[in-house]
Amino acid sequence: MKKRIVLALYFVITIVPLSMGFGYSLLYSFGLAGFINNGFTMAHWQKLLANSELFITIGYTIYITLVSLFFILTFALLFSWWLVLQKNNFVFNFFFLPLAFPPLIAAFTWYYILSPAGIISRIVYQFGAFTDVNEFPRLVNDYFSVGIIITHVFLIFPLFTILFVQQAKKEQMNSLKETSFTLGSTKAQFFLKIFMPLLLTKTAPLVILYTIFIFSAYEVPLLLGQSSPRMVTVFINEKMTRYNLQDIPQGHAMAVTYTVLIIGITTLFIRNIKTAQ
Amino acid sequence: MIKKSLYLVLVTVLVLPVVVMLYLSVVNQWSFPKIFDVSISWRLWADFFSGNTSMLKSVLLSLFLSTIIASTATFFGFFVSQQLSDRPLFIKLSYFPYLIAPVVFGAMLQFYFTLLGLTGSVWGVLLAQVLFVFPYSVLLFSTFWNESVRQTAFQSTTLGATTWEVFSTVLFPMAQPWLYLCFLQCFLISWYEYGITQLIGIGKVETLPIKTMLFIKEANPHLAALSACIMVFPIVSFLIINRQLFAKKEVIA
Repeated sequence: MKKRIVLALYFVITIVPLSMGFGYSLLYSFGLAGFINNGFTMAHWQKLLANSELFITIGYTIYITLVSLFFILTFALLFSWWLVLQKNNFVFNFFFLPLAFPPLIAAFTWYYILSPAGIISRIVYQFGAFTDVNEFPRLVNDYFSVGIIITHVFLIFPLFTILFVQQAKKEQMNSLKETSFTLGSTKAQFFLKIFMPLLLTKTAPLVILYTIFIFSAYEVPLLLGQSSPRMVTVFINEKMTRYNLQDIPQGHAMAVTYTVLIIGITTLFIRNIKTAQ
Repeated sequence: MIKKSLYLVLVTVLVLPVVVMLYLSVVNQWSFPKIFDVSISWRLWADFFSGNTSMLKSVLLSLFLSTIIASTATFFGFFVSQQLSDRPLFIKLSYFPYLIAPVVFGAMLQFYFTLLGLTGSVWGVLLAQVLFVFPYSVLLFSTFWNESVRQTAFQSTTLGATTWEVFSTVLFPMAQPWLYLCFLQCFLISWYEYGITQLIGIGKVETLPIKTMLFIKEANPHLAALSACIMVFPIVSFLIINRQLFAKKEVIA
């Protein structure tokens, strides 16, 4: 009996709100809820698909996610390789610092480092590389979203570096290395064939988790992104909370798309950790 | 030589945002192209500590919200995950609300919050945050309830311990690192939360992140930096002291 009550309460807090929110957005996107709607219509979805906003937004979000992830994992692998070989504890300590940074503050500080009037631009200016502030390349609110990617890398690569170093210790990487070298492998071979695959497979669930986090990022693209294209969370929020009431259903349609995507990836993720166990 | 400069670059990248934050909070102006402005003033900090600004109110509000949310989530997460420990599939359902971006979750739920008259209120924000912090707590504690813990509890009961004794002398001491970590993590999630607080609080519930964003939007980097420092520095210093916690966090994750 007690267990049933706990189970019921658990569902009420975890699954019910999500289902209710999703249901409302679904109805809204088909014109079946909300005070501006009057009856079933496909118009909102058609509008979202017609000017390719849906694909552009999702595509852009995937671009940011994959590029950020690529740099995060590359840096984390290289630095953990380096820290495992060098055992430099002094530098290792600094990797803990970004873990205490929320995305909002990271985006704010990187804005003042990368913007045309920011620190890097001022340092370059002192060397006489340019005379007008507008000549400095745009690194924030820019076309390639350099600012967003750098901030994501800053926020997450230290965590993966720490994780890889700990995992390497657990796998007794140093004795594996000795053995490989004795058997005649080169450093590069060891890195590519043992170090990298071993760490990436062991931490795969966490990599997927952070892929979802980057895909769902909000504050960083809000501050450092362009007005178009936008990442999916920014898009949804803008459509739903701006003054143009006609845009709200499209926001809901995008929220439905996003939620379906996340539920799909999460289901795969849950299966993945089940098999890993 | 190359190695040393690489170290230097790396440490600079990791430390620079902290320096920028602190620096912006103690200069009055920072005109291009000067790298350093000579007019350093601790006026904003002095104002904050004198309690004359609305920032102190935001600190207290954030502290209140985060403490309540972290305590509730930790307390209930512990018991609920115990009850569900033999049903791992149910526990995994928590991943869904936890992994949806809070800001989208909030946008989809805003209608219901308005219906209940909870938008713009502290209680609304509290409830909204609990909806994704609590699942996190359940997920975290699910790593605690392994076979050996359950067996130990079972044995204590067989040997005649009451439920209270099992909890107070066996389970709580065993779970102490998890309880501590869960409280800290839930506190941090809530302390740094911006998206759902903005949506459900509609700007009326001015927690520290909301206040910081307000200053950023007003193009007032100095006050934004002060607010950011107040938000981040206590956490950074706490984490430096308790660095070991991170090692544990990763193991649990």
